[in-house]
Order: sequence, then C-alpha cells, then structure tokens
Amino acid sequence: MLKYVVKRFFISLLTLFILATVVFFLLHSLPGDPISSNNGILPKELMNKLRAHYGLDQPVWKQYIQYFANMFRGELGYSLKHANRTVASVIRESFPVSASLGLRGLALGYPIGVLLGVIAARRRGKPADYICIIIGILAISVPSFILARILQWIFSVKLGWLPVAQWKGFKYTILPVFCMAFGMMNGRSMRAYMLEVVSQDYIKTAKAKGVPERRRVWRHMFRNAMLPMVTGLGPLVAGALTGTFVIETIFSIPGLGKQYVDAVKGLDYTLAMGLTTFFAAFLIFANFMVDLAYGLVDPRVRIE
Amino acid sequence: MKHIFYQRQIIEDLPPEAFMPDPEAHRRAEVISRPNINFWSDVWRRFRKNRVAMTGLVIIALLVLLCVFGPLLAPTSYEFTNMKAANLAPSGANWFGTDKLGRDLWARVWVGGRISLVVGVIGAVLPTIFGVIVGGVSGYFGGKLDMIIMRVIDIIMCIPSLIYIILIMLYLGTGILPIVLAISMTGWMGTARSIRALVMQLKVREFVLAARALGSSPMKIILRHLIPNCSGIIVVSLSLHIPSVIFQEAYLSFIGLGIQSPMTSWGQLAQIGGEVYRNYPYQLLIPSAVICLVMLAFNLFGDGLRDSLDPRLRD
Repeated sequence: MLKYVVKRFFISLLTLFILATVVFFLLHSLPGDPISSNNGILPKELMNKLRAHYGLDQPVWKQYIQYFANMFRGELGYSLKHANRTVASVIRESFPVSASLGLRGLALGYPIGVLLGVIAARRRGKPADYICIIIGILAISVPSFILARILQWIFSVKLGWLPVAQWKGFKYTILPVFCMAFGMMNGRSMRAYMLEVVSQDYIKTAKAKGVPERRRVWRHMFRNAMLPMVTGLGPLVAGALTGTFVIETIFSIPGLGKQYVDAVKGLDYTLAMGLTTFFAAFLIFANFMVDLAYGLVDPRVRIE
Repeated sequence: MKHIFYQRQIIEDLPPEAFMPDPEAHRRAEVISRPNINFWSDVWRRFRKNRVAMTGLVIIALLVLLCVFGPLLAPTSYEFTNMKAANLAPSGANWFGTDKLGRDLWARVWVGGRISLVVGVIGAVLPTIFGVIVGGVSGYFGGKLDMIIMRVIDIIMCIPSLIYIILIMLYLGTGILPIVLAISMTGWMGTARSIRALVMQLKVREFVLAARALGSSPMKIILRHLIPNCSGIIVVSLSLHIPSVIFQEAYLSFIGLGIQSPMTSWGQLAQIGGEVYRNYPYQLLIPSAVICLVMLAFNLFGDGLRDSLDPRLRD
C-alpha cells in the first residue's frame, strides 16, 4: 500500500512537471506578450524597460529555466498584470471563494442527483421514473449561463427577492449555488448503475431470506451502485472547487475561474502558469484520492 | 371413364422431366417472406417505440427545417440594420422582435442556428473519428504504445481547454473553422478512452483470432472488425457530443471568443440578450429557449439511442 502511494506520488509529480512545461511553451508561443497591450500608450523605452524587469527580453528557454528554478523554490512569481501582487496571493484570495461556492453547490446538487437516480430505478417505467429522468436531462440541457440569467431576471429583477450579483453574505450565495447545483442534479448514471445491480444474484438472495425492501435498497443496492459513481467524483470535486468562469462572471464573484480566464486572455504568463499548475495539481490529487478511496469502499479492488 | 382417359392422356403427354423432384422446392420452403432485420433496423424498430426519443428526433428535424427555410420567411435579412426599429418587442411583422441595431431576430435566430448546428455536428464528428482511431490503435496494440498514449491523454485532460482554445483562436483568427478546430481538440480524449476499453475486450474474441489467422493486417482488423463492433457506442457518444459542442460554442461566445457580428450563432444571441435582459427580456428568452430545446432534443435522442442499442436495458 505504502509502495503504491509513493509510486503514484512520483508519477503525479512527473505528470505535473510535463504538464507545466507544455503549458509554458503553449503560453509563450501565443503572439504578443503581456506588455504589448500597452502599445501606443507607453513610450517604447519604458516598455522595453518593463520587459527587462520581468525578464521577458530573454530567450524563451532561459525564461523557462528561470521559471522552473523559482518554482522548485516554491516561488510562483509576481502577476504581470496586477502590479505588485504575487500569484500565491491571488490564489490565496480567490480560492476560498471558489471553493466555498463549489462545495455548497456540490453538497446541494450531488445528493439530489443520486437520490433522483435511486427513485427512478426503484419506480422504473412509472411516472416518478419519467419525472426524475426529465429533471436529469434538463440539468444537462440548460446551459449554466442561461439558467443564471433567467434566475436573475425572475428573482432579482422581477420579484426583487435576492440580490442580482456580488458575494457578500448568505443571501448572495443562493442563486449561484443553485445554478452550480442544478447541473449536478443528473441521476441518470446512478439510475443505470442501480438497474444493473437489481438483477444481481445477491439481491435475489437478500429478497429470498426476507430482507425488507427499504434495507435491500439502501444496504444492498445503493452501496454497490455507488461504487462506479465514486470514480467520477474526483474530477467533479476538483472542477467544483476550482471555480466556474461562467457563474463567477455572471454573479461577479471574485473566484479563481474569473481570474484564470482574465489571465489567459491577458497573457499574464506567471498568473496563468501558476493557476494552471494549481488546477492540474488539484485534479491529479483528487483523482489520486478517489483511487485510494475506491480501495477503501470496495474490498475487491484493494490495491496491492 | 372418359374423364380418366383424358387424365392419362395428359400424364403420358408430359415430358419425363416433369416427374423429377423440383430442385427449387427446398429453397422455396425456406424463403424469408419478411424483410431482413439486421442490427440497425432492429435498433430503429426499438427506437421508434420510444416515444420520448422520437420526440427528440422530431424536434431536431423541425429545428433543422427552420434553420434552412426560416430566414426566407423573415421580413429582412439577418444583417439588415434599421435604427428606427431597434429593440422592438415580438410582433406580427418581426415574429421574434428586433435587436439593438434593429435587425430582425427571427432571421438572426435561424441563421445563427445554421452556424450552431454546423459547428455542433462537425465539432462532434471530427474528434469522434480521431478518438476512435487513437483508442482503437491504443487498445489493439497495447503495451508501451498504449501506455504512452494513455499518459499523453492524462496530461492533455489536465490542461484546462481554455488555453489551447485561445491559442488556436489567436493563431487562426475568429471564424467557424478555428472554433470547430479548437472545440475538436478538447473532445477526443473521452471517446478514445472508452473505445480503447471496448477494443481491449473485443480483441481477444474468436472473430479477431480468425481474421488474424486469415492474414489480415492489424490496421484492417481495427478498421474492419473492431471499430464496426464499437459502432453502437460511437453513435451514442456522437449524438450526446453534439449538444455539448453547441454548449461549448455558446460558452466561447460568452467569453467573447465566438462568432463575430454580423454573423451570429445561438450562443452569441443569448450572450447579447443577456446584456439587455433587464429591459428587453425577450432578447434573452428566445435564443435561450431555442438552445435549451436543441440540447434537450439531442440528449433525448442520444439517450433513446443508447437504450435501443444496449441489450442489458431492453425489456
């Protein structure tokens, strides 16, 4: 077990390193640099001085060595667009906001999705089944930016019950969290796994020995149907915690997603690099945790 | 008496061949009187019974028809501006109203639909083809090649798609082609993974062994034997991929990298409508409703197709 963890850890580090390298050269191969957007605003000498200050006048491979030397020392550098702000401070500031939004959305949406799947599978072919499936299909069919705008229109503009945007207290979180959660209220995969489990022999055995319905569903079917669901949880959690650009933009929430899109669009090399590495590390870590958790919940796949 | 005589006469007149057994008889007895049911017509038969999925198909067909012929019914072309008629609510003349430049929204919605549907279909077909080939090769050959391809996919999946989408758009400019290419770059990894898993299951089956014994080349085995056996999964993933591509195109419009005016798309219309929804809600609601409808229709269609294809879910 320990050997496996150590091995996975080094593979993850290697993946992260290759990934950061690829992203570094991708970003630097984009035409222009972060200073060139000031063309015509700032005098030429000043722009060249700025480039020299940030090391942008060096050849790309030198910048690469410099950047990674800094990264190994734990330095992610300064943002090129926000004056005097370190990348680390941007992450420290925005990550808790995104994570809190994501966790609330996940905590609201995911259990509802699973529950809908269980209900649909138990009432297969009955009206309850169709209602659950329709909710699930709506959840993946209504794009979040449309849902967000329409909710804003109904609850903020027409009814005036909730604030339109910003992130200043519980009232402000209701609409974005619901938008976030709605996309996860999709019980269709849970329904499919439940239906797969229903026809297993051990369910027949349980029924034959007189286990009551409720216990059969939650003890025998639910647990086994949840196993494949766990696999998808890693990317889902990572994605929810690191923020979604659309919801953060529409509700003007100062989260990571918004920072990220602005950084990539503005060619803020250091910030974009730092955030990408952060996202990727998060995703890899989440997948790693899921693999470990899989061994815990399913004795059949105990890792050697 | 006379009667019998005539009969005997007829029999004697017959040539000797007439007394041979009919060589065609056994074939006639076994002739299949109903049309053959092959795999796809069986799927279609099941699919037709699924009313929800059929509704999806009908909605898709209607939307396609509207995109093709809808603009012809509009009073003006989609790019005709008329500042005197700006921001008009839906009426008998402008069925969907007009936008802030006085352009007819009925025309714009269906012209935009052409773009969205074309992007959706091509943007789903290209990565599916690529993913199927990569997944097929990776699954069939296995070993080192498979390991390398899977690690590359792992790494690409960790890079936020925004980086290479912006990269491609900055190099190729904005337009349909860069958008399709950028979206295609993001969509092939999932298909490659699932096809790889299926091919790994299929390649140890007898029909592959038979093909190999008969001297088929690996590429021929992959293209002729393995991939056709994955066709069910491929078709389902294709039909479920189209709505997600339409969504991605809308997302690109949302961050300002989509189709540029005066050309339009559903995502762009919803985005522009989202800016003025406080005063002119119809400009947001109409494109939004169309996007939701098309996503819904494709999802219902793909779901129904999966149910018709998957023998485990059949009753």
